[in-house]
Amino acid sequence: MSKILEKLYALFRMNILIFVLLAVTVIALFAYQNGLDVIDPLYLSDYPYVIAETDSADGGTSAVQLTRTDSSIVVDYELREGYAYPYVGVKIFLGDGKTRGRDLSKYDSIFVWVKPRGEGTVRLYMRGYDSTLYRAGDESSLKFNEIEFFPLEETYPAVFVPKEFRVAGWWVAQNEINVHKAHVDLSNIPLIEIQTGTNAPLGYGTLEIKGFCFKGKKIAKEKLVTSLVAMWFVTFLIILIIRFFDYSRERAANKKKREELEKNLLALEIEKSEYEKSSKEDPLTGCLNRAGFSSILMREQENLSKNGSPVSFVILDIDHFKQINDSYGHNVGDEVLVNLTKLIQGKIRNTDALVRWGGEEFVILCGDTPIQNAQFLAEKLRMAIENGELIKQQKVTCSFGIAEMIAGEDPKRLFERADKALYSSKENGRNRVTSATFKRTH
Amino acid sequence: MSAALLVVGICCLSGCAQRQPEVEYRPLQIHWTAAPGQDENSMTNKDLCVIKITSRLMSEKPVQASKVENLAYDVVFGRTAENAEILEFNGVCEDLSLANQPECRWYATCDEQGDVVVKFNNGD
Repeated sequence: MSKILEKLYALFRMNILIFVLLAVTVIALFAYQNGLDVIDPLYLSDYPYVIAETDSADGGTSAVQLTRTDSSIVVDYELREGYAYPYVGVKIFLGDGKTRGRDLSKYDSIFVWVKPRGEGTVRLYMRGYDSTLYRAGDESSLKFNEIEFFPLEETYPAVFVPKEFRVAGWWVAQNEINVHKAHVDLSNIPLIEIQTGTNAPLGYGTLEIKGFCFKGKKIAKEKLVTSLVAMWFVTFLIILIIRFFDYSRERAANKKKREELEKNLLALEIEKSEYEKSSKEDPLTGCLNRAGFSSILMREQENLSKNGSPVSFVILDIDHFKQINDSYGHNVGDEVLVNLTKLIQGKIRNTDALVRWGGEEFVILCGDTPIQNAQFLAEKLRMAIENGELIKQQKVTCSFGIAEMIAGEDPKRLFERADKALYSSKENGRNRVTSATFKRTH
Repeated sequence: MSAALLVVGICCLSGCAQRQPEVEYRPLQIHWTAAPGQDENSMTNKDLCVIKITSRLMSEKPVQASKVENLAYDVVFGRTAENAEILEFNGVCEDLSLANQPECRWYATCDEQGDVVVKFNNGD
């Protein structure tokens, strides 16, 4: 059971990782689209760092009065002639109000609640600090990121996105700002100004300012995308590493398995060859048995039919073997068989095959040997057996029958002839060699 | 007509079929004995001569045509008196009652090159 689970785990491990990664990506994108909002309100009713301003700094004579209510500040003003572009407004300081303000660049929407009690536009300045442009003690060196709009009569706020702001052209011109520096930058805003607009009519007027609301995301889109890409990259790296280790482990396991198989194969081959050998060998004498004889006979038949190489067949039988067994026991009989085998094997060529045909009968298959040579060999063997001492108890002799194979002849016929010759040797007194000479009838 | 074609076909097929060679069984026994007083171990070409004579005997007409069921020869061999390098072989049927048969008595010589001459008592 655990093995099945392991296999399933191995099968799905990679896919699970990818599935999890996909799920995380989808959830993250969905959450980004539908949540993860950061909303920072700035209500001016109780915000202390708010002051009124007029064009008196520029030589104007406009007047202003700032009043706080429970929910807003009310700016009552009178725009008078004096300065070419008369204005009044409020300054809202953020941070230290000079060099360290608030980072508004992370917000994607800015809500402004301004309710006019008169005509004309309203200007909103997000004054940005730029260390390369800032002159110490000179508030006018803070960058004028501006937007001018007609405030709504309703209670709805005006909503802006950062890209709707622009840097005031007159400020760029007055301060000779390099064009590459004259871009909107809301990353450090120490001061916000709300002023009457360019076309505000002279005379009395009122601005009721409730406050601001900055809305953004907890994580920037770029950061989210970068994080997701990094996550995908790391995940695939992990998958690659896992697969590499899996592959190495699999390879090692396969190698081990292959080695085991090769070892088993070798053992089987050895076993097979031993089995084949034992199946073709007579266990007592170690010479071939009939099964082993067949393959050699086929080879010699082929030699005869292809090359005309003569093949002779010598069959020999131990004379009175039954008597030996009956008189001295089977052990002595076995001794005769073993010693006879040794004697014959010592006198025949390596190319000749000695076969225990059954019981006390042996066959010698002599390749490349005509019948006269086989007869000569048989005679030599007969004499050697007669003159040798296979056992101590008595003299042992053998009778021989010889025949030569004829091309295309059924081996059975050859055996019959050799058998007849052997029978003839037995009939004529044993310890003889009889050749089955032949004459072709056609 | 069709019967003739069938016969021709059968003949062709039987002609093409592999035929088993038929041979006549003829047993032959030869018992070799050195002449008294002769040392066969000193006869260097004896073995070769025995093999050649065996071969010749098997193919000799009198042997092939013999009516004797089991031909068995006692062969006595030794050096010739004229030339010690030439061996002579005197073969006689083991069964002396057959001694008058033409194939039952033969004489052969074999020189040092193994050239064999066999003569049966009928002069062949």
